[in-house]
Amino acid sequence: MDYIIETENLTKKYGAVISVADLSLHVEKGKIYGLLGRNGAGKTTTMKMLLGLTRPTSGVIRIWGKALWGNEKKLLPRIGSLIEAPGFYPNLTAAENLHIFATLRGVPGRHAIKDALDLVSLPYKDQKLFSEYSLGMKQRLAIALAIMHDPELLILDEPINGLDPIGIAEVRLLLRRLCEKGGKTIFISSHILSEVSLLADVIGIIDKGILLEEESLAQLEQKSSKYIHFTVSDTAQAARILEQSFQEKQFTIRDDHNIQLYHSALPVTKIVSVFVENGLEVSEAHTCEGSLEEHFKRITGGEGIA
Amino acid sequence: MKFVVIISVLAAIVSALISCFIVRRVKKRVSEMTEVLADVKSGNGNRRILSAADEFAAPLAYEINDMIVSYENRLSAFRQTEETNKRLMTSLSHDVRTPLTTLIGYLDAVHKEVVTGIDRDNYIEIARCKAHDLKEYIDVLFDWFKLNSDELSMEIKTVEAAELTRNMLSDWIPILEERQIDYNIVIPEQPFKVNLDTDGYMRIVNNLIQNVVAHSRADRIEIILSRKNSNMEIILTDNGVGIEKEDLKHIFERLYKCDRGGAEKGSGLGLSIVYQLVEKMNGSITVKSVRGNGTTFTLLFPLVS
Amino acid sequence: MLRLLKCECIKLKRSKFLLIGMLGTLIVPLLVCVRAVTNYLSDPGNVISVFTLYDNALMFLMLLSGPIVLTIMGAWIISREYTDGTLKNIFAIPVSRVTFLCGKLLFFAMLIFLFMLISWLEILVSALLCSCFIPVEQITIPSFLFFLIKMLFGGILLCATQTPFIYLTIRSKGFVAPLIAIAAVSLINVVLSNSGIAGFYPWSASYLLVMGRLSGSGCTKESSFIIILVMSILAVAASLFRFKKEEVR
Repeated sequence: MDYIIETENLTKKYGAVISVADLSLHVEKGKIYGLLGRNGAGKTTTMKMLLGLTRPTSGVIRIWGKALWGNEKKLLPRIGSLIEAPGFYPNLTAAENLHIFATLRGVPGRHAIKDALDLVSLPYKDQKLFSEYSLGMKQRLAIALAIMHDPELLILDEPINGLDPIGIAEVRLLLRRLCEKGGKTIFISSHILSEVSLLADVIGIIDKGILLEEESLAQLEQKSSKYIHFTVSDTAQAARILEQSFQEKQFTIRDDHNIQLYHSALPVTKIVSVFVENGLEVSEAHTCEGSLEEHFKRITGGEGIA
Repeated sequence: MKFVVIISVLAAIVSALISCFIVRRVKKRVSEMTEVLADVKSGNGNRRILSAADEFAAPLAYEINDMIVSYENRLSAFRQTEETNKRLMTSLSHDVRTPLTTLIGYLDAVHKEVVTGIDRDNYIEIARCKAHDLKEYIDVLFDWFKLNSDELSMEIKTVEAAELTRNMLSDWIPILEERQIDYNIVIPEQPFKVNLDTDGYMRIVNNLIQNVVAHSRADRIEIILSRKNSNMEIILTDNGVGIEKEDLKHIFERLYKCDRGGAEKGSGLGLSIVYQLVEKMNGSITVKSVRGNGTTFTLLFPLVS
Repeated sequence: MLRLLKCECIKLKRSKFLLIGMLGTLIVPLLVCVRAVTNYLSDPGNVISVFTLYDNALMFLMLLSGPIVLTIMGAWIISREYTDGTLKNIFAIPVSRVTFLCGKLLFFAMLIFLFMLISWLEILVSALLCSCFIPVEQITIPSFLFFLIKMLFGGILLCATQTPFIYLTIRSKGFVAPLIAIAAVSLINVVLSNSGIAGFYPWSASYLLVMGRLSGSGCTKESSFIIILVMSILAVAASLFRFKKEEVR
């Protein structure tokens, strides 16, 4: 597996305070990776280290398989980033601000500035200064800066901060499209669970600087959806019994021995006993339940995420 | 005289230094661009050559980027189809396996004489129904594949749609009555000349009604055919469970199923097929729905003047 | 590097600080000329000469208003990157920290020379204007050129003596510390102006060096040069070192 971003035991200490501890991240190509954690969990620090803004105390960062340290000149231009609050020159317009960064880094096309502003629905020919922008517009401009040079990798720290609900939906759609159509890899952080679960393919949960879990959303959903799982000797008969004895039709047969029953309020023991009565061998039966929130609560030790 | 010589020598040295500097810069730039192109060649279509607008290499860089982007777009369309097909294959294996295994369960029970007498006949009947359902599903699947691979041959010609619709709906009436669904069908007497593929049109209407009958739990259906501007409009309304707002946006997408994780559900292909067929006949289809209050599908086909 | 300078120019657009800087630059030569004219009008014995005009202007520019205006400008063009939060965007481009700071320093130096040139030009114009109405001595091309060279020399020394404030700005990531420092430095300038040790004090010494009046201060030309040079090299090195380690928190 080749990862776009890979870190090994990444650690950052500010004095005696450990901000990020032993972090080993793996971001796959063409996926949206959501780093989920409360405020102060170490998300921003992690991203700053990935961008070379802050030097790690120890550990290795590899981007496109190359060590970041010493290769910044080659690697960073391929990354678009948004870290913390949008930072622009207040006395300039949106286009002038982008022009500065376009001059310093270069852009992929003649109309890159206009295209980027269009994508975040900000006007190109506007005399409004950055200092007069609302929080939402500032955030949009920051996103425009991140995508202006059509980078392969986006590192976005809380990209929906300050946006209104419509703006959030637009940004979500934009990121999805960049990932699915454009094949970009996106690394976002958020403290809002629902946001990450709507957007990300893979979720990493960070708490107090420690990466607790790193798993695909599909796996997580599997873990958190409500169903009863049976491992039996003959799924065909099990299916027939479910239909005939319990009038249950909402089940999925995984293979010859595994069957999952959804939306059932029946007690597991009762179903098992009927299976056994009918000559089936039941080697396993368990209930999988709980929402994502509950799952996160479990792994963060009861405090929950957001 | 000496002064002039010194000046000219100095000028020569300076210009030599400057040109050395420029050559070095050009060389560096070219090698950077080569590196990017090598990366693109090895399959990374997301790579771009970045260049400030006033740089000497900017026009070249921008042209190359345009080219990479246009190829990448074409490739990504392929990749997306591939992705959908892959998803289809996984969901297919589940969607076929569950009903088929259940069917086997019934037949096995009969075969091993777990049940006898009237129960036995009952089981055989259930198995037969399941087999038919499965066949229907596979038919739909086949249609969908044909539609998506553009192999479906459409024979679009001018037909009189009012009469055609009336005949089709008359086949549905016994089914609706059997399911105790109230119906209100309004089709004017005047002819409606529309360019249609008859089979496709029938499949569209049948699919929509089938959806209502199978999934909406409605007890009333209304089908109104009328003329709207230069179009034939068909409005199909039910008072069933409706569709969630979130789902409504995706309803015509391939493989979208409203109710996830359950077993009793459609293939997720029916509405996608309807949508594609309507598009191919230059029509349009829109949907409105309120959760709990029913759903309205509106079909528009341009009339032939 | 050229691009960095170009960007610095764009960043000045519509900025109030550029306006303040410009006003600060324009006001000193004007005041000097006005005072000379009023002196002449009250007593025609006080003849205006190009020499006195430039001498007075240089004194203010090198000792009082110049350092203050320039420190404000310098502190602003550096501290704004911190306060506007733009550093993270620039470093992520990436622009190396050293290159970026060098660009800033070079741009600041260019501003200082612009400042001196404008002052020189302003006195030239006002002297020519005055000469239309009242007698002004030494209106010759060589005398103007002589002072142009002196002004540019002053510019170089100003660049050197401004560097500690740049370091202070980077160190404090703000605007206040260098302003307090320059206020203190200017006060000491006034106190020391006629004392014997002014030549050892870089900010006074630079004025004395330009005007060639060092001899009265008991310090040789070379030693005061070396003091200024060592101080500025140390300040630049410290700034670069500090900025190189800069972490965007």
